[in-house]
Amino acid sequence: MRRTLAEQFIHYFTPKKRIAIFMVAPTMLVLLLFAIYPLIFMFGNSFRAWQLTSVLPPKFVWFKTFGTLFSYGRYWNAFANTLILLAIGILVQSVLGLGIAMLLNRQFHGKRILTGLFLVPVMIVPVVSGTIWRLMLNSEFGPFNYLLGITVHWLGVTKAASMTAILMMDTWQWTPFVAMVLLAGLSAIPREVYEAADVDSASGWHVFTRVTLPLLRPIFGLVVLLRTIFIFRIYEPVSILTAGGPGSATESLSLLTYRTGFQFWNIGLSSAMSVIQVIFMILVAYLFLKFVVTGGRTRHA
Amino acid sequence: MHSQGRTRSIHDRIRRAKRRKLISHYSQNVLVILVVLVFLSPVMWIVTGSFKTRVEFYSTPPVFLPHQASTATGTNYARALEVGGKGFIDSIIVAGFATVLTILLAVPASYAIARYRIGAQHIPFFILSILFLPPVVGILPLFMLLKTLHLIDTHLGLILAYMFFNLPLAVWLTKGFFEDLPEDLESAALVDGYSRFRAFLKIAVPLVVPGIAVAGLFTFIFSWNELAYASIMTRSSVETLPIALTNLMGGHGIQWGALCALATLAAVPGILLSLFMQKYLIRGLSFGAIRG
Amino acid sequence: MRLVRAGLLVLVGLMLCSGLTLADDKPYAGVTIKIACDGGQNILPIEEAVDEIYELSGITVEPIATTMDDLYQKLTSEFIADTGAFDLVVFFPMYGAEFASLGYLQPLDDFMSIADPELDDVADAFRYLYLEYGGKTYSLPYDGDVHLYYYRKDLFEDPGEKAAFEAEYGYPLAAPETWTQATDIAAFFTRKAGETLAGQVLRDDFYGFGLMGLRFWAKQHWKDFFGGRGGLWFDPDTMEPGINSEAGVKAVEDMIALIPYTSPDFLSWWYEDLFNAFLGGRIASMLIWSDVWKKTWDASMSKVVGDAGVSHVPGYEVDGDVVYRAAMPFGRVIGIPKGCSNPEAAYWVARYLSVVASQDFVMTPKTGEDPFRYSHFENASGLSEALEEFAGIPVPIEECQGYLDAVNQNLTNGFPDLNIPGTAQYEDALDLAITQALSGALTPQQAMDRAAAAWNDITTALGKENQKAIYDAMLDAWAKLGYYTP
Repeated sequence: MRRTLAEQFIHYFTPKKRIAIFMVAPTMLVLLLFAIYPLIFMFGNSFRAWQLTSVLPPKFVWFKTFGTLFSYGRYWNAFANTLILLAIGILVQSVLGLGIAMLLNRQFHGKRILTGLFLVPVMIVPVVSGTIWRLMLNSEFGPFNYLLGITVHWLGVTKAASMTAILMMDTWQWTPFVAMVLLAGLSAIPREVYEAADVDSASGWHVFTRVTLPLLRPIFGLVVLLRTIFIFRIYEPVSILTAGGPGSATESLSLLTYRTGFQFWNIGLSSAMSVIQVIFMILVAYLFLKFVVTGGRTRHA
Repeated sequence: MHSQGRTRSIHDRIRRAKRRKLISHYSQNVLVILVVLVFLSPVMWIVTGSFKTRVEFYSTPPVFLPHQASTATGTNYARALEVGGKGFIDSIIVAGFATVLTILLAVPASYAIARYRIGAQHIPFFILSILFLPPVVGILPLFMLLKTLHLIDTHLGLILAYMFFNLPLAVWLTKGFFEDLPEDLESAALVDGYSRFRAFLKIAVPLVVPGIAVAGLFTFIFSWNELAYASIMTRSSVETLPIALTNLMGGHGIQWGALCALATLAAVPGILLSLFMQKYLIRGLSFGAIRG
Repeated sequence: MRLVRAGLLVLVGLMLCSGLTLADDKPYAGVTIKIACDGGQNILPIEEAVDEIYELSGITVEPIATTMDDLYQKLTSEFIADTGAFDLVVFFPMYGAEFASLGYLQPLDDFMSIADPELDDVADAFRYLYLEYGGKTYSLPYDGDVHLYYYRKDLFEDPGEKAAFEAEYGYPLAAPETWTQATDIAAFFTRKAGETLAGQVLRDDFYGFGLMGLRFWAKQHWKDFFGGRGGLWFDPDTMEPGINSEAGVKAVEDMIALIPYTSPDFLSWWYEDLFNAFLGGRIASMLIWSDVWKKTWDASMSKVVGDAGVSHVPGYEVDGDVVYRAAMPFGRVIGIPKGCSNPEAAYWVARYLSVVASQDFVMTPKTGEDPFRYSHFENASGLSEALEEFAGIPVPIEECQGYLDAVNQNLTNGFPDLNIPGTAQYEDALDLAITQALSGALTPQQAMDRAAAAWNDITTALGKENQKAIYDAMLDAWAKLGYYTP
């Protein structure tokens, strides 16, 4: 019995598929609508030399903009800075976040209040956080040095100290996010799993590595991926604490791209910069998802 | 193992284990409090800042207990409310609706992606890739888009712009939870005659409440704290709190006291929401119980 | 809050009008003018003038604040999109040429015939540098900015310090004429905690000078040195950058010479840090904008009330004369965007702010606005009155006159900002180099050479011919003021 095209069509869209499309459609619609224009804008302009405030009109130069970009030392400096922040930031925030999530994943008095309060750093508007941190790290009036009894010049003097300051602020602000997500993930692991491990009188560490971590792996991988995406785009801590200085010692990609596109109005160059960054992120995310999140995901027994 | 261990009584071992557990429990509690204190100390600095006069911000040694707290506090908070009053209203509208809409759209979408593998991995990856776009790339085109839709300086315009960025996050956060959920219960429900959508709504959703709570909470926070897009997409009709805060940081002369006051006030809704969400975030026991 | 207030004002106004038939007296009844300005102390003058403006004209003014950093982006994106969101814009004159050349602003000449903006009263420097482009006037002045040299008068007058200084350096302690003297003063007054200053033991370190080294702020100091050494932004004939000339490189070296006498943190210092250091009594001298002098009298934020002396920016000895140049960074002017629907009303507001309201708002320390009219410079008593409110002690009129004279003096020898399209880019490249040299990452020559190379790239990208034409026009204005002799 041969089916007509229409019948084949309807047969393809099983109830299962239909409901799936129905549930995904609104989200995809919004995203596509808002993503199309920026994507076209970004790719299109990366092939042009376009200075918004110039009397010269934009013109197609194809890959010449990318060529200029490859020899633009300042861009690669910003890339390197961003990668350094990324590597150290992810490491510290993941480990710290996991530790804190484990600590909070128990029953204790005032759990709700303490956990809720712990999220406050994320609640402060980043611009204000940055401004206050600047004051706190001031080696003359800042409480930071005073309370720790040290005299480190945190901002703008040496690259190492400045990067550390930026990382401190970012860690302070986002570790609660990591911890919260991991806590939610830990909460979803049923008690029985732990009870079973207890019966086998396995040690705490053993339970942690053999039971908890594997079950947490997808969520953990996800939160690391999300933090990677966001640290790669780090802006306020750098902009407010050091403005990228001294010189361009702490300039991050996001800062440079923003300045190029929005202060120098060099739309062509900033689009090319963005293209490179997007491609980089796609690669990183793809590899990450392939090997860390999905590989070895276990189902509950 | 040396012979001594074998001859020790069971009681001793149990007692020792219990004591160890108690010590570990208490020390962990202390650790939690310490951690919270460390993370909250900058916040305390901001809060005490709202009680200070300008000079006290630039004093050596740093002022921890403001001297003229009574007068300074009043002025600071008065100024904060004067500048930020409208900001509260606008922020609640924008962040609130953005969160609700985002969750309403994201949860079904992430379920469909998790369960029905729609579009294989391409659709979820595309959704994630929205987050790869550097903000500067988005600003000018979105500005043009909103302008064409006559949504500049409107609440709706900003809500839509925020949904654009929060949807991917919400989808991915909840997707993970749905994927971890075994299909048995839903399959059982389907056999019992539930429609797929009903199975989703009545069975799956309640079980991933921690994930939805996390997604909702952070969508709210991100929308509440966002500045760059708000600054470009709005003028005078809509003025969210972050923008009101920048008014206190004008060019030459940061009004520190009022800034701290407004920042403190601005954090309150988020804190309240977070405390409220704890109920849904911490479930622990219930899931296992249902499965059993 | 502002909307509610504005709304109530309109309502009350309407009620009054209907009751007293005064509507005829209000030329622009019912009009709303939205004005964008950077926030905080710089938008305060507008906020305070709202009621008066309404009383006199019927216009409801709506101030819209942005951050200082955001101002440029917000204005340009608005010009590009043209949503009619702003009827008036307050901006830094260094963007004036860019805005005017791209057609973003409306010329004001026609409106000026309706109501005189009293441009003759405006200090020549501002008038010829800030307001005009291509023979037309595009903006009215709102804030005059010029650098001054500040010093602790009380320390300079302390007999013990005076004697010690003269003994060590061989000349009397006074406001420095040259940078060599200023550096001597800086060295002399740099003391560690525990040493004495004017007879008192210091609890914290005290520095002789305040230097700003933060990214985007370091260049503001450099300009004073560069100008004093006779530097020019570009060569008038070849359009080659002048920043890596001997003047430019030596200017950086002069700044580096001051590093030992300033805070070790100076690379993170910007305007706030600098003036707070002086007001907090931690530095002996500094180079900063003219509005800070008003702040020194504000007892709620200053510990040096009455002790701030001002003088002209130090310079260099050239053939027996002292040549100095005071940088004039920032400043503010008001312009009308192309898309404004009621330019006449907008002009009325701009003129009111610039001519009438300015008499008050440049005097009070509450605002960040500095004097820019000759009528301001002659109003020492008005300044004294305004300051006394905040100082709590009498403010001698002679001191106010001294301050106003210093401002005038520095303006007469001003070194204006570069004012051609792409200023933001040029300044960024310049500042990058300066901060790299200050932090020791590069030598001054290396850094400035790199900046010059970047400047050439920028000029090429923007169109060398066009840039040169605009730069030449700028130099003509400089020549008119005696800042430049061809």
